[in-house]
Amino acid sequence: MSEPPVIDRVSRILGDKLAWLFLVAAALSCYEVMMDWLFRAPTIWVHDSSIMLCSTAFLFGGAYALQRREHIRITVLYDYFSPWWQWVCDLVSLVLTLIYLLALAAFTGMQALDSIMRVESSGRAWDFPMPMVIRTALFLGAAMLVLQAASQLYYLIRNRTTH
Amino acid sequence: MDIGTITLVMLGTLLLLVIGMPMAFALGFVGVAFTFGFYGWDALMIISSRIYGFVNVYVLVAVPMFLMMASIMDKSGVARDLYTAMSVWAGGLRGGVAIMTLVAAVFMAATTGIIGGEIILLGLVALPQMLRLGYNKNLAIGTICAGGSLGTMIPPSIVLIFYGLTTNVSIGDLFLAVIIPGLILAGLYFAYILTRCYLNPELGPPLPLEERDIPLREKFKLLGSLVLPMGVALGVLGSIYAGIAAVSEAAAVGVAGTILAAWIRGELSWQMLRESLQQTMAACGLLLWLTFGATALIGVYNLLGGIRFISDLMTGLPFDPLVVVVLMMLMLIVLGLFMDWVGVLLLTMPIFVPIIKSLGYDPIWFGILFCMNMQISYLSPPFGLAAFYLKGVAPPEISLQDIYKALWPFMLLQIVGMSLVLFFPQLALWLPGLSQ
Repeated sequence: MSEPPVIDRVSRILGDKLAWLFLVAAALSCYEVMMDWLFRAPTIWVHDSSIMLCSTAFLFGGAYALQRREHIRITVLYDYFSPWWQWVCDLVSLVLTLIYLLALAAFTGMQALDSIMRVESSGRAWDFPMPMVIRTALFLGAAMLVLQAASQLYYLIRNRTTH
Repeated sequence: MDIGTITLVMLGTLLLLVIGMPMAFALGFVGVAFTFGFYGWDALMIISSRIYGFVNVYVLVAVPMFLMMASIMDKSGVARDLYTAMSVWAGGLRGGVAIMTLVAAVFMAATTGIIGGEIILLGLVALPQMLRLGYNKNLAIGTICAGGSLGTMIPPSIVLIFYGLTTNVSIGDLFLAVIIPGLILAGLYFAYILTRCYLNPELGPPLPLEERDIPLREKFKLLGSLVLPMGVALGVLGSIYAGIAAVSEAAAVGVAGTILAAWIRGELSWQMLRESLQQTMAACGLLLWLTFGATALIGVYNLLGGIRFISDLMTGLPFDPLVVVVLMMLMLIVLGLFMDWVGVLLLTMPIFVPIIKSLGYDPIWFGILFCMNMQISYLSPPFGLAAFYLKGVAPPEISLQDIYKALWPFMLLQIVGMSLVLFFPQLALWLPGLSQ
C-alpha cells in the first residue's frame, strides 16, 4: 500500500479539524464564567452550545480513534495466535463490528431524520434546535465509523488475497 | 429462557473480547444482538435513545476539558520541573530521593494526571538518579509505578469523573471524598519507604554532601517555576470545592489557565496545541464509544431483568452486607487483572451501584473504593499498565519480571489503604459531609 486508504485520511482530517471545537467550547465556557462573575449576567446559551460543540466533536472521535487503532482491545490471547488465526480474528471482529455499527447508524439515522423533519428544539431557555444537531452528529459519527470499519475490512481481505 | 441462563450466554458471547475485538464494538454488538433477539427490530430504538441521552448532558463537557488540560500540561515541561524542584529538597534524609519522587508524583497527579506520562517521565529522570545513588532497585521501581498510579485517585481524576457520569453521583463530592484516602495511600507509601530505609540504610542512601549543597535561594527559585501550573490546578479544584463553579466550567477555565501558563513559560506552540487536541480527540472518541457499547449491553441486560437478578443474588447471600462489598472488591480486582479501568467501570458499576444503594451504603464511598481498587490493576501482572510504561523507558537490564517483583509490596499497601476506607467509610465521607 503506497498511500493510506481514503477513508483513513477523511477520518483523520475530520478528527484533526473537529478537535478545535473543544477549544471553542472551552473559550465559550470561560466567557460564561466571566459574564456570570463579573457582570452577574449569566448567558442562557453557553451551556447548551458547549454540549453541542463537544458532543459533535467526540462523536466523530470514534472513527478517529479507530483510524489510529487506539480502541481498547484485550490482546492477551490474540498476541499468541499465528498470523493466520489473527487474520481470522480480525475478520470476525470487523464483520461483527460492522453489523453493530450498521444497526446503530440505521437507528440514529432514522431518529435524526425525524428530528430534522420537525426541527426538534430543546425547549429550554435557549430554544435552539439542539437535539436536531446532536442527533445528526450522532448519525454522522456512526456513519463515519461504518465507513472506517468497512474500509479496514476491505483492506484486510484485499491484503490477504494479494499475498 | 430464564435470566440465569441468559446471563451465562451473555458472558459466553463476551469471549469476543478475547479474540481481540475492540471492546467498544464487542459490547455494542452483543447488546444489539440481544436486543434484536429478545425484543425485535424496533426495540433497537431504545439503544440509540439511551446513547443520545448520555451525550446530551453538560457534565460530559468536563471530560474533554480535563483531558485537554492534562494533555497540554503533559506536553509542557511542568512535570520535569516539578521533579527537579522536589528532588533538591531530598537532602540528608535516608530514602530522601524516593520520598521526593513520591511528592512530585502526587503533585503531577493533580496537574497533569496522565498516568502513562507521569511514569514515563519519572522513569526517565528519577529512576536513573536513584540507581546512580545506589538505591535499591525494587524500591526505586515500586516508588515510581505506585506514585505514578496515584493519578487514578488524585483529583481531577478521570476515573472519578467517569464514575460520577455513569452513576449520577456528584463529581465535586467525589473529588472531596478522595482527598483523605489519597493522602492515606501516599502516607502508607512514605511510611513504607522510610521504614525500610531506616532499617537498612543501604536501600536508600542520602544525597551526597556536594549535591545537597544547594543554597536555599536556589531551591526556592526552582519552586518558583511551578507557581503558575500549580496555581491553575489548585484554582480549578478550589473553585469546584468551594462550589463557585460547575465542574465543567472549572475545567474550561483550567484549560485557559493551562494555555496561559504554557505561554508564559514560553512553551506554547501551535504544534503543541494541535497535538494536545488530537490526543484529546482520540481519547474522548474511544471513551465515548466504549460507553455507547456498554450502554447498549447493560441496557438490554437490565430490560431482561439482569440487574435485578444479580441484585437479588447478592443481597440474598446469607452474609453481612459488608461481605457483599468485599466480594465486589475481589471481583473488581480479578477483572482489573485483564481489563482497563474504563471497561471494568462501565460493565460493573451500573450493576453494583444500585446494589450498594439498596444495601444502604453511600455510592460516593463506593466510588472511592472503586478508584483505589483500579490502582491495583495498574500494578498487577500480567497487564499492569504501570509496569509496561516503565519498561518502555527503563534501562534494558531491568526486565518486566524485575518490575513486577518490585511492585507487590506496593500492591499490598494499596490493599491496606483500600481496606481502611472499606472498614472506616468516614475516611471518605467526612469531607463531603462537612460541605453540606
